[in-house]
Amino acid sequence: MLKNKNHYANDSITVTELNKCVRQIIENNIGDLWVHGEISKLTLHSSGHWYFTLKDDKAAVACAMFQRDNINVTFKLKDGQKVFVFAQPSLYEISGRYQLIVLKMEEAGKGDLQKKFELLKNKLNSEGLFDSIHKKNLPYLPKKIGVITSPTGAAIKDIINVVLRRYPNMSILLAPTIVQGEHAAKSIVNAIKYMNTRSDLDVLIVGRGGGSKEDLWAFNEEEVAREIFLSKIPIISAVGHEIDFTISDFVADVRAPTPSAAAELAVPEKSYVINKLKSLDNLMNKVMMIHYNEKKISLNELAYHPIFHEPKHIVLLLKERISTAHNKIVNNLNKEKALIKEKLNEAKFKKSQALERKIRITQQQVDDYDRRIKAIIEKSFVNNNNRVSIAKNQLRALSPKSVINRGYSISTDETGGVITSVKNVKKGQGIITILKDGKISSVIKDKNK
Amino acid sequence: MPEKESFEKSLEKLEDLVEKMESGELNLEEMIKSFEEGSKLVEKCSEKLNQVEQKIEKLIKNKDGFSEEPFIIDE
Repeated sequence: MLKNKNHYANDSITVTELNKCVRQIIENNIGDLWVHGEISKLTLHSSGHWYFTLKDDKAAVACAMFQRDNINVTFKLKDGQKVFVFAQPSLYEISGRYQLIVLKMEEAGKGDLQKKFELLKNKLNSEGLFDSIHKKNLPYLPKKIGVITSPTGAAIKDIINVVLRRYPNMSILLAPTIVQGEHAAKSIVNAIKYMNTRSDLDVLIVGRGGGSKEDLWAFNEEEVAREIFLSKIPIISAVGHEIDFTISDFVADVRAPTPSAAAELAVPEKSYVINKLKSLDNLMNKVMMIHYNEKKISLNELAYHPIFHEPKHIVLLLKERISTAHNKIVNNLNKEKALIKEKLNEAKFKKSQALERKIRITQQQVDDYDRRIKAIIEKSFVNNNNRVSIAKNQLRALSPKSVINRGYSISTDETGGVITSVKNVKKGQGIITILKDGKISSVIKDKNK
Repeated sequence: MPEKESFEKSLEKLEDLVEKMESGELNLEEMIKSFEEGSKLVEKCSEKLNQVEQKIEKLIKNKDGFSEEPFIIDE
């Protein structure tokens, strides 16, 4: 029912007038009062004024505390702190925002959320959910990484970027999850449950990017903590920033300070693994080569041992030793014989029959002993000769080639018998000479002795 | 999971083998045996490293439960 088109123009007021009016209504009708709540979104402005939000579970109000008032506050203010403020409710006319002008402030102990956090932490801790014996090891090289977070947040981008930078052919499966608000806890729980029904994942990252304590609150819920505990797949928790600690962090197998850090924990750097493998391979080859060379050297030392080059020398040495031993024994026997003879003469002289018989027996024993000693010496000589001929055989097995290589040759008759003396051949007979690179057949023209 | 375990186990085994070979306690025959085994492990590990096929996927809820579809980061 508009009577004229200026009706609104006459009755309307400006925004400035409106805000001024509302401000006066608020200020005059409420007046100064004490309010308690929790500090969040605290900004310490360079002008010296403080701006923050005071809140509880269900509501929040913007606050300003000017420098002339905040210089009287004796404690250090931080987010999450529960305080009592003496304030004037007002309206910031420029933005039309309702706010509190805080005049005084008193510390009121820890905030409610903080209290809930501490209570749950203590409860789960006493149940043993944080105990290190329950912590599962992360796989060294996962086949596929499961990520439980929001598909639109910064966390998933960070995780994918870091994983692919470290390991370009790694696979990731994202379970899109609500990570904030009243449905978050249930959504996280369901994602963890579902991921555990799959067989292709061997590590899970559960988390979200940074936010306020309220934003991160789902990760402090009991049902989330218990589901993390029950997960068969190892879980890395990655909630907010380095300074944010949640119950999920305590119950997870590994806590990462940020989603990017979680990605680093989940996959090794491919180049690092390749290098590790390469260096092991190289080391193995080196060790094998050194060992092989050592064995080769000791084999060569053995091959060049004098026994394989101067067998005559060894035979002479042995002969000498044997004959020395033989002479010594014979001398001793002769001395004994002489002594016995002397005794015999003495006995003869005494004409003692008994002694004579004894002497005969002794003589017999001496002769027997002499025979045995000789036999032993003979045997030992044969043994030593045998050893020498074994050495000779070894030499033969080892050295003909090297001998031939030095320019010597071997001559055999046509049946292959080695010719060692001119006696073995006659004029006109065919012989074969073996050289290092072949054989020569020739006929004996003449022979000289 | 056995595949994953075998990579870690193979690498551990290889490290143990090389350590033993380095110790100088093995004779030539044992060295050759270890070397052969070690070479096989190196081959196996390298295969595993490159075998992993890259896929970035997200879960999609449908009437039968979940299925996967490629996930692309929107910058």
